Amino acid sequence: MKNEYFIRWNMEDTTANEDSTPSATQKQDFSDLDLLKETTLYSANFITLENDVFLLDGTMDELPDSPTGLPFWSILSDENGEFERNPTLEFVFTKNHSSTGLILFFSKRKIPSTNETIIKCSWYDIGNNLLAEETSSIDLIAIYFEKKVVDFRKIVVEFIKIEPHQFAKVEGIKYGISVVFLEDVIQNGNLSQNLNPISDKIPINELTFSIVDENNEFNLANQNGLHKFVQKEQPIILTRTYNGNEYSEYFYLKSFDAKDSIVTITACNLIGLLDNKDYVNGEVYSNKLAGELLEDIFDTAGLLVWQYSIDDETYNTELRGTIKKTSCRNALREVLFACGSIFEIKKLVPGPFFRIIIKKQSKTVQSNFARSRKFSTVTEKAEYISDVSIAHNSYTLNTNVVQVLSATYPAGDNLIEFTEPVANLSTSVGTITEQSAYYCVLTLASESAIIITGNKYDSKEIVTTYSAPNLPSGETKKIKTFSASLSKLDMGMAKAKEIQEYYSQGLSITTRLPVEDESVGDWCVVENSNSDYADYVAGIESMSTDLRGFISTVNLRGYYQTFTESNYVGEFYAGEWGFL
Amino acid sequence: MAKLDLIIDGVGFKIDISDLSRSARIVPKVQESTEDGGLYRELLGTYLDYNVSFGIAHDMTEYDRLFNMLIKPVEYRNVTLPINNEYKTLRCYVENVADSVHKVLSDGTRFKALTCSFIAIEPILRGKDY
Repeated sequence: MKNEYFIRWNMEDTTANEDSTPSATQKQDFSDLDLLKETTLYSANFITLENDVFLLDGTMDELPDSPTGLPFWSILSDENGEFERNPTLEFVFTKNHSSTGLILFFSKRKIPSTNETIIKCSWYDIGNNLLAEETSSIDLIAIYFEKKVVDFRKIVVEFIKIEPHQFAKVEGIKYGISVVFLEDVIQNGNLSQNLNPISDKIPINELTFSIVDENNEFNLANQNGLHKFVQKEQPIILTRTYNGNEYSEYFYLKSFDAKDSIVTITACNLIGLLDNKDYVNGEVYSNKLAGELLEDIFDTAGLLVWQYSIDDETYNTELRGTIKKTSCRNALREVLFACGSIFEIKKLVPGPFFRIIIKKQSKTVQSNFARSRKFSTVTEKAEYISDVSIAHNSYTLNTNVVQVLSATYPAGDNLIEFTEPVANLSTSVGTITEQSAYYCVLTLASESAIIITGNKYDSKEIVTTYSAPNLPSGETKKIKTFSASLSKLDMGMAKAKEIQEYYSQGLSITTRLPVEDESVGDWCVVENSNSDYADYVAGIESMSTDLRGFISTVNLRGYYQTFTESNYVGEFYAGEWGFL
Repeated sequence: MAKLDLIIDGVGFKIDISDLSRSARIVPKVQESTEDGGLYRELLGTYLDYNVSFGIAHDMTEYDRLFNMLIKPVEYRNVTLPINNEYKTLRCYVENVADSVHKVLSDGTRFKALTCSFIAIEPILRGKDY
């Protein structure tokens, strides 16, 4: 088995795109510059009369009379690739930004260029003073202007010379360049992956690695170091090549720590981003579709629609209860716990993007941890839980109108948050311009003492307990209690029973081995270290992987695999797939 | 062996190399026993180390200059050695520097049999390529 990996850190200004206002000169009228602010690249593959563009292989589309979805097309260059007046692309920002450079993405041309291209990039400060200038003469699909610029407010890209008789077609822009760490400069690296099969917790996967900072780029004492361009949530991509196949995982910078020339970088997966945003749109639900709630949570967290998918069963689960103000990650826990669903993060194929996939856990056996592959196996008796209680609240709107709040607020828009749900709010002074179960926006013309009235909800706690009918010999009764703010409409005892069944899987297995393409949530046959005894069938709950050789310590929970004759010849064994 | 220059970090030395031997270390990235008694290995690469013996020094100034260079506590060195009628440079560190007294004269002590090892820090062959 051969493993290699590298880590790419996209050192970009993560807020510049959103803050930018693009404009252009000498452009085609159909150029939609706002598309440059999106993360998706808009490819143009249209037939034009440009030099060396129209391939007669049937792969190109006719250019419509009124094209849409094209970010920037310049006017046509002359026979020397020059213009009477140079086209420019300008980005103005409302705040200061800093970056390690700029990348311009151009439309992919099928015939490589041999001509000289000259494109100039200039950075300006708030006073419109020139901060830096960089000219690129390399003709590639992506042009890199590698320049560390601090506190810029404007960028101007000038197209001085391109291919003869062509349009300059810019499809996207990135404010920063990537730093790539190869295996031989990474001192150590670890990938921690976790899954809670009952979704009582929403764990965050973390990538941690250390590098030797020979040039003091991350030493705060170096005023010109790369550390000035480090921003939280910058993308960090781990790419592993395993037996010739390439796998990538996407992370976002959480922290970096530099000590004695060793820099330790920690990054979290997409779920980590959900921790940074609060969900405040919670209502009191009587039959809310889980899918609609999840869409709202992901939207609040800033995820785009292609960054997640929800299976039909989860989407159509009807929920009741409420979600109080909490992080989007906790809100996700409430929905997934109620639905009995899990999530995984998978790469979209083709493309470099990743999405959260909400689904029901499949107990299909996908891997075999053979003795010939494992270095060690430790089996322990898992904590047995005989009784599972789930406490949740039922809400009924109280028809009495009562005083919700009495206070003095200044003029303007005031955001008022409530710890308990309320409805039908009205105010003695001013206007309630926005209201939800847990907040309202009160607009006042001047500072005023106000009284807000409305309906409160009566809350009643309901506790559902499931007790295992037959206690295994040697076990004593033990109860575990969960609290949930949402529950399935038709839940009854089923949810508590489902959780108790999970806790009745009596074995906790820890094994160490080189991982192939296994991931948390997969079910595996784990061969017993002693071939005289039965093997195990278990689900992977956590993996801690040393990137040097991709050796993992894997924690699983499951039970003994007891075969019947038909099982032995069945579909379950030796890398085959089977159903439990 | 012909008298050839030894170059350490760009500094040349005119001193006889009486013996030059090399040994290849095949270094594993991971090497661990599996539960069925097998051995799991993934290799990092092959490192070529050199052991050098110097002859009797006729020029004691040059000898002392080399000795003092070899015993400097420097993490890594670029060493150029005469191998197969050409000079080869390797990134290495220096280890096992030793010599012994040849004779004690009225004007000082003469040493002989200076030996040292150059331990490679970069592989000449990488496991991923095989």
